[in-house]
Amino acid sequence: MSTILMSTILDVAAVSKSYGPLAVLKDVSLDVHRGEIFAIIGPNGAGKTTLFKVMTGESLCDGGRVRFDGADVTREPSHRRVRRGMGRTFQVARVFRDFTVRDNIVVAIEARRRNGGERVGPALSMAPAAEVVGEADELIRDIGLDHVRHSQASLLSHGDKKRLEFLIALALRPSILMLDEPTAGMSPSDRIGIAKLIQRIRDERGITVVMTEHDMDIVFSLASRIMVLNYGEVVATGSVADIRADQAVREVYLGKEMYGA
Amino acid sequence: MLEVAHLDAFYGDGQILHAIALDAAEGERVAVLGRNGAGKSTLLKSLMNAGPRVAGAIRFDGRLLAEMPSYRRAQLGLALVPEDRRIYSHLTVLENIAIARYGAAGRKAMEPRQILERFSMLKPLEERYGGQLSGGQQQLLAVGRAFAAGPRLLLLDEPTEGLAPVIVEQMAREIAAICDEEKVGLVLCEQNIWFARACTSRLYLIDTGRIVFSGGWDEFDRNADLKQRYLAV
Amino acid sequence: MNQILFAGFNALAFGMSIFLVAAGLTLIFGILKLLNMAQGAFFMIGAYVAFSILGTGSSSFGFFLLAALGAGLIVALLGLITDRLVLTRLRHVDYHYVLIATFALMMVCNGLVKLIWGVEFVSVNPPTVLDEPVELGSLFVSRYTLFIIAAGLVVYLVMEVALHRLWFGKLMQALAADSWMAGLLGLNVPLGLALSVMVSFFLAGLAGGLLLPNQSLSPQLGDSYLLFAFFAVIIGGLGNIRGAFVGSILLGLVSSLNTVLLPDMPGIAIYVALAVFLFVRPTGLFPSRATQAEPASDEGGGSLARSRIGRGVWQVLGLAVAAFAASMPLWANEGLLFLAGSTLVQGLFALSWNILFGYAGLASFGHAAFFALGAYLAGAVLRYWPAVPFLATLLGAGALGAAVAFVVGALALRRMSGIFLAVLTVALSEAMRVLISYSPLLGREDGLVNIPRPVLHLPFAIDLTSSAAYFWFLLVTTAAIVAVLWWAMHGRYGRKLLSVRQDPERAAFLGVNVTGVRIGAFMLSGGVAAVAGALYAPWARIVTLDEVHWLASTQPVLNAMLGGVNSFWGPLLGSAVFTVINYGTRTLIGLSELIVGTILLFIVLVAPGGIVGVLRSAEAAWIRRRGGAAAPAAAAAAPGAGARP
Ligand SMILES: Nc1ncnc2c1ncn2[C@@H]1O[C@H](COP(=O)(O)OP(=O)(O)OP(=O)(O)O)[C@@H](O)[C@H]1O
Ligand SMILES: Nc1ncnc2c1ncn2[C@@H]1O[C@H](COP(=O)(O)OP(=O)(O)OP(=O)(O)O)[C@@H](O)[C@H]1O
Ligand SMILES: [Mg+2]
Ligand SMILES: [Mg+2]
Repeated sequence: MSTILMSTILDVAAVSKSYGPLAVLKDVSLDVHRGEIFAIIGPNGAGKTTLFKVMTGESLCDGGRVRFDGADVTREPSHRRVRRGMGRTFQVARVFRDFTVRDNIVVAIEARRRNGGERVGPALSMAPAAEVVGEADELIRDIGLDHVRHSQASLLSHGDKKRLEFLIALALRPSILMLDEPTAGMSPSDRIGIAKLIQRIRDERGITVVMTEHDMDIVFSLASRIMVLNYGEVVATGSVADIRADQAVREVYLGKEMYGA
Repeated sequence: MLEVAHLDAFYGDGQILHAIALDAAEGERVAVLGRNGAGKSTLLKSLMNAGPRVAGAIRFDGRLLAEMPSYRRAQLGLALVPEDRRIYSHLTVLENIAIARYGAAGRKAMEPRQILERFSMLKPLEERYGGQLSGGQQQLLAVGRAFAAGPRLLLLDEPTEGLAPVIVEQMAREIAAICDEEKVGLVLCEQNIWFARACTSRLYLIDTGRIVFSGGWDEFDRNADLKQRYLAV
Repeated sequence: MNQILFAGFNALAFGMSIFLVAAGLTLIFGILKLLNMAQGAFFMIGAYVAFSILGTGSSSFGFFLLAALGAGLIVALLGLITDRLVLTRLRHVDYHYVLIATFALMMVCNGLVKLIWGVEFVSVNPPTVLDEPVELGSLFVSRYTLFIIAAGLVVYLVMEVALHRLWFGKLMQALAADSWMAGLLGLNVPLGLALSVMVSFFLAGLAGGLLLPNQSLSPQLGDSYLLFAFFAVIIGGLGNIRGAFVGSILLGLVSSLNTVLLPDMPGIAIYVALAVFLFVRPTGLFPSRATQAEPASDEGGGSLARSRIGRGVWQVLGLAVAAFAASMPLWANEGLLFLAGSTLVQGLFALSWNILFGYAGLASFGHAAFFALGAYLAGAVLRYWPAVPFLATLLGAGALGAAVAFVVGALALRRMSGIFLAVLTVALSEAMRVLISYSPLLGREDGLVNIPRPVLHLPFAIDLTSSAAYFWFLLVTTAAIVAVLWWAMHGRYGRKLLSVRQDPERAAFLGVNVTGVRIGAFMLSGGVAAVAGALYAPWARIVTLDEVHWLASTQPVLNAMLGGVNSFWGPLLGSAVFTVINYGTRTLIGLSELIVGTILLFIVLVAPGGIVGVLRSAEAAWIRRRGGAAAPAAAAAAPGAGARP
């Protein structure tokens, strides 16, 4: 019992959510183990983003429970969950458009330090502390945004914005990272880059990742476990091999040609 | 039908596109591939005069478009589906489609309900408000909406983003079918090579604002290093 | 029984007259997402135009209607001109700039009305047919009242059908929600937007013509109706015609109950009702079905510009200015010194406003309420309880300002949209004005006069009773507060505010409590404004109701915009320049509104970055010409909103 609790970081139990008469989530349960990459897939409109919102606190569920890191967070607002170590990205990338790339990361690092009760920097200094800038630059180099470090974020291309947003989430040093379609709109090479990155942060920093994604190459290469959602219900949960072999999943989601057998 | 010669495009002082040459015959379907930030979206917006400052010649049906505002271009039969979809959140799915018929300017166009039939995933959503749709549903609606104006040349900017694999396959079939039936031309910007290949007959590669390759898909396949160099796959 | 019926009837009539004004307001908001502060002024112009057509004598019913329609058409034409000259240029900027532009437009209109029609009250009789009472059961009511109720109903029905039943309405809404996409879909955007503006203005003019009779027509007419119309629209749910209708009737009821139950305190119940309502149902009766989010602007608000000229140069310049100011008591005459001191206070006041606007992205249009709070507090304490240490009074004023800001902020900022704050602050200052005018302690309409200047009792006593001494005290205190604010705004607190301003939701996912941060910024701003007021009371030695007039609320907006809202120093610079302008035009006393409004409009349209913005662009151009590497930072330093051609 205790070992199960130990290894479960995010536990969603029988969550349901309706918009008016439309039930978007029906008794969805899942548990994410510490350090795994958990993928949620399903056809468009299956309820993935809604489930994400419920897990991140952007909207509250009608029934069921959400436990994160041993605490019941079902009714907690987002910023509280973030302080417990939950990071996220949005389906349409959102960054601080007037800030430079570096300042985007700096505010994130400062927020993290503030949330953690750490010293944000020397008490009277106005410029961000040297460590903060150093850390920001390192992250930026790491993800390959060095060439735009001083550009205003609103001027970045679609794909670069997405990567910047990813970086903002990463800068919070979350224990779990919630990624809603992290590679949408990226070129194939960038996708591979992001996939490698996700793999790396999991391996090196032990960050748990929960993601939705429509690029099955990414999902199949990364995920330790996959959950399939359809019409707000869990159709299947299992390993990559299980899901690939599942006839029902093939029908409602994978199709025949692009990821042909 | 569309001839673009020596097109430059700028955002502020920065030049994004350099001397682009591109053409598409009546009913022809071409793809534009390139990395993130290569300038694909800028190219499509330039064609519509909807954002960047443009220099160079864009001809549609032999007619120079020059300074024509975007709504006039739309009425001539150019239809752009932007990468950020821009669905009207306070209109229902059906109304979102119906509203685009005003751009048909008298051309024959598909009925909204016909469009719902063709993109069957939208069928049960007819009455739902645009703002309530999921990301993928909005994407599909944005593509469907473009057909309501009876376009003669469709400009699609990454239409498969956020769509489930089955839907991507279905969309490839539908787009090809509708374009054939209605004699609609297509300029398609894509990241999904499978989809681009399924929809078009030839392609352009664009890199840092310049066309670096133009030719058929088999030629593209023969030059393995093209893919390597410009798409880095 | 009869009395109740009669009261109900009056409530309905009053409600309908509010609705006639609110209809145009909610239409233009629903379509253009434009909260038109000038709607009341155009309503008033409509009334004056109808008055010019009709004259004071009685007229026939047909002629009366014709005059109202004529007023509507003329105001619609003004709307077209406004659209061409002002609104089209503001389609893509942060909505706050549009708010400010319509605010300026209101001042210009008010000024023009005074210029053309004078300031005297006039009154017009209803057309002869409507001028008689009719008997309804046991009740005698005027026909004109019946006519207004009917007119309100007709306007409501027409709009309801046009907007919700006809395609026309959908097209308009589409244009409004995303005109860029509408253009891509082939809709004639410029035409559509101009049309909707004209219809909304037509409604304003028509309402003016219809409501002209039984009204004392004066240049204040617009203000009162505008405020009530705003409230109705907020209660009903922004941009919803049905909501505006029901909201208007509710307001009519409340105000009619007020006259019956609380005849000594006219007009107070509406503010109470509004506050209670916002607390219970923050989204209004008919919340908009579209997402509640702010209308997104293509442009960010504009990053805070940083000069690239070395800091040393600025420090020397700053010291020189400070030395110059400090030397003033030695050579300047009383009048000039007073002006200089007032400029300091206004500068601090403007700065407090811009902390809210430039850093937190929220606009307060009733900031004078906080200023007056501090001024009246300090004035009353100095007069009645002179033993209280003045520094404690200053601190108390700050705390009081912050506390009031907390209450208002907690009410208005629960919703993500800042528009509610804009309106609720206006309501706050109006309510305060009403309250003060009841209070004998605060001098009612006459204000607090003969406020003594304090003596500071530090370990040694500093006597501030002379102008020179108090001026130095002002200078030092202001400089100290500005320094602390400068430090806070340029450090991590400023960065946090700016991140919340740019994308509240993203900020929440950094673990930032967005509502808390916004309320905090509002408290800081309100507190500083109150301190500015408290500093002002003993300087001017008189505090009057003028301090809470809405004109007083425009002053910090104007100063900040003039100087540049994208710069910390902008508001201070703006205050100084404005004082000079005022000094130069002091002989044109009657035209002040017109001049000020025109300047403000001019700034928003031509140089939204204010003086500092213009300086920055010049600086960037200069550096470019000198062949300085066109660093990418130059893009970030460009003046923000409205910079795009
Ligand atoms: N506010 C809302 N009101 C009504 N229905 C909604 C609302 N938000 C979402 N829905 C509906 O709920 C369903 C689930 O939406 P959700 O965004 O969770 O899908 P998704 O799985 O993320 O899809 P996608 O892969 O396309 O992003 C959809 O059918 C959508 O239309
Ligand atoms: N509004 C803008 N202002 C200034 N520069 C811009 C703007 N929009 C795009 N750019 C720049 O233009 C270049 C081309 O961008 P564009 O969006 O056309 O790329 P893309 O090929 O569509 O990329 P993606 O695949 O990521 O969508 C990028 O370097 C981008 O930074
Ligand atoms: Mg989704
Ligand atoms: Mg693009």
